[in-house]
Amino acid sequence: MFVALPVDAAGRSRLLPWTLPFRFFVSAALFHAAAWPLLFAAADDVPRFQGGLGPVLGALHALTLGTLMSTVMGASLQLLPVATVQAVASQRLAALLWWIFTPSAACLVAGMSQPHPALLAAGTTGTVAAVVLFAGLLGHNLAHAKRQQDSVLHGWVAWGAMLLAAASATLLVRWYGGAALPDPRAFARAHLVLGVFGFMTVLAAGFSYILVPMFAVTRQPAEGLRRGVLGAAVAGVALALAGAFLDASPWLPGAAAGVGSVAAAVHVGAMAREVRRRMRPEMGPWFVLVALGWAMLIACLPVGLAVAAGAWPDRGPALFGALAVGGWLLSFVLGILSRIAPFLASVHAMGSRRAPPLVATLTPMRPLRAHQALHALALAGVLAGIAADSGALVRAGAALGCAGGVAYLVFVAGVVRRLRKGRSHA
Amino acid sequence: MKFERQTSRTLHDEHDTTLALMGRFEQALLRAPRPPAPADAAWERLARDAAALLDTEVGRHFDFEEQSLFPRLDDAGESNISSILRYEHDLIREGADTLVRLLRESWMQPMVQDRWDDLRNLGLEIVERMVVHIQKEEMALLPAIEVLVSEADDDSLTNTYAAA
Repeated sequence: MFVALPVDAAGRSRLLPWTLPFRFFVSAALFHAAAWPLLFAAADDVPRFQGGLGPVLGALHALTLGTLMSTVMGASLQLLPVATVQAVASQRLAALLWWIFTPSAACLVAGMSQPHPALLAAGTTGTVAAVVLFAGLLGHNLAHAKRQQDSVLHGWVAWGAMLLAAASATLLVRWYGGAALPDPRAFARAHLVLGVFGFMTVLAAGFSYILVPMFAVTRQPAEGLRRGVLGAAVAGVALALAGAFLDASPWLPGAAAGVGSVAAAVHVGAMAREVRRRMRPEMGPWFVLVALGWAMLIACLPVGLAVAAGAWPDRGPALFGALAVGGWLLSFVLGILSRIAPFLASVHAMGSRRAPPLVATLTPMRPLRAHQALHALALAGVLAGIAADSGALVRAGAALGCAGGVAYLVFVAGVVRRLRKGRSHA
Repeated sequence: MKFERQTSRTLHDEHDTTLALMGRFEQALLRAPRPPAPADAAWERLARDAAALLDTEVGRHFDFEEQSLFPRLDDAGESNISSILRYEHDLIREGADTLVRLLRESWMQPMVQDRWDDLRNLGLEIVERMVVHIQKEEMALLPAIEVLVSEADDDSLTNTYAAA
């Protein structure tokens, strides 16, 4: 009774070959596994980190570019076309994207960590080229989207912020190479705000409105609320950018953090309310890290507000960065990835003459559970280390993070192995 | 998610009904490693609801999608998506036939542990397959209906489904 499925789409289909999104997911897990050893090696520098080349900045970009961006690319290339009923512009360009982005991001991280200006410049050039290519693919999808207008709006905001973040990165790297740049600190702040909040946070919120209700089996928050949160997030980012460039007083960054805090609280409150109303009580392990990410999002912006007001001048920036990147974005994205990877595997594990495996059997539970515990402990160690100005605590946290990175890599590799096994029975 | 077409809204509402029942059914199975006591009224009510859904409503829903909607996906060059959904229909139908027989047995006579284990394992598998299948339809099929089905077509499809 089992039909043989077409492995690849005839013509342009919304469903990509499985190897396309999964190559990005494997890269994300590899960069994640590489980031923690870098942080371990530079643990003493973490609590008072305020920017500058070195392994701390390298570790940060291994996470933001390597893990978060790779996941965003893989997930959006597959899920956005399905949700918006608009096929990806070109599967070949999507494949080319991985080939440009992954080695370039690795080069950039290595160039930052050593630091090695030529390597950094080469990596940045390739990474920015990949970001522009991704912007083209994403922009094509958003411009032709036939559905999900609200998420499309989030996509456009993130699209603009991503390109501005890439532009500011180019200027900063040129400055590291000796070129003139007026007020590099302002550009560095703008890069952080654009990358972490304007791009990743807005995109994460837009995807949340589709993915969390689908996986938790519940409804989306009201459209008015979603748009209101987006408006507040855009206002917060704009205020933060104005604060970075126009005003040395803490008012603008403080106002940005205040508006952002309200937007984050409303977003998380609405999502949590819908999750509580879910129709299927069983949530699965993916939600643990999503919930942790939401808690960290709520926590990070008031910390940003305090830092803007002058609190903890030595360690405040590192604390804010660790909460925003490690606590919020990394927890949330790894949680979502741990659900969409087996889900997409279940879509593709159908070349078999046997019944295809369940999502649950495509999910290697032991490494996933181990990663969740290690991730939470690693985060606690790093945050405590920054708060106590203790390199030893950061190092202990990073050591747990190294183990967690390996566990997550084993998890992703396990999903791929089970998917390939399912398909090999055709 | 907001749907303009009545066809999408009807299918979406049926998905919600199915998910709510599957959620209750899954919880009952997870809480019961042993067979229900004879004349357990709560179990009988739930088992009857689940059997009715799997026996008639799901079949009607699947038939409509296969006969009236998947050909539209095929024509739009989305045959890989319709093939996956058809394939899952076949799997769920096959498992549901056995599960419905076990459910009927569960309220008509006392069940031995082995039969209960069969019911529980199959029930949990069907819940998982049904939930993931609905997630795929909500993500890939219903948005496509919104784009591929015209207003006039929508009226005709709604009437066809109501008459089924």
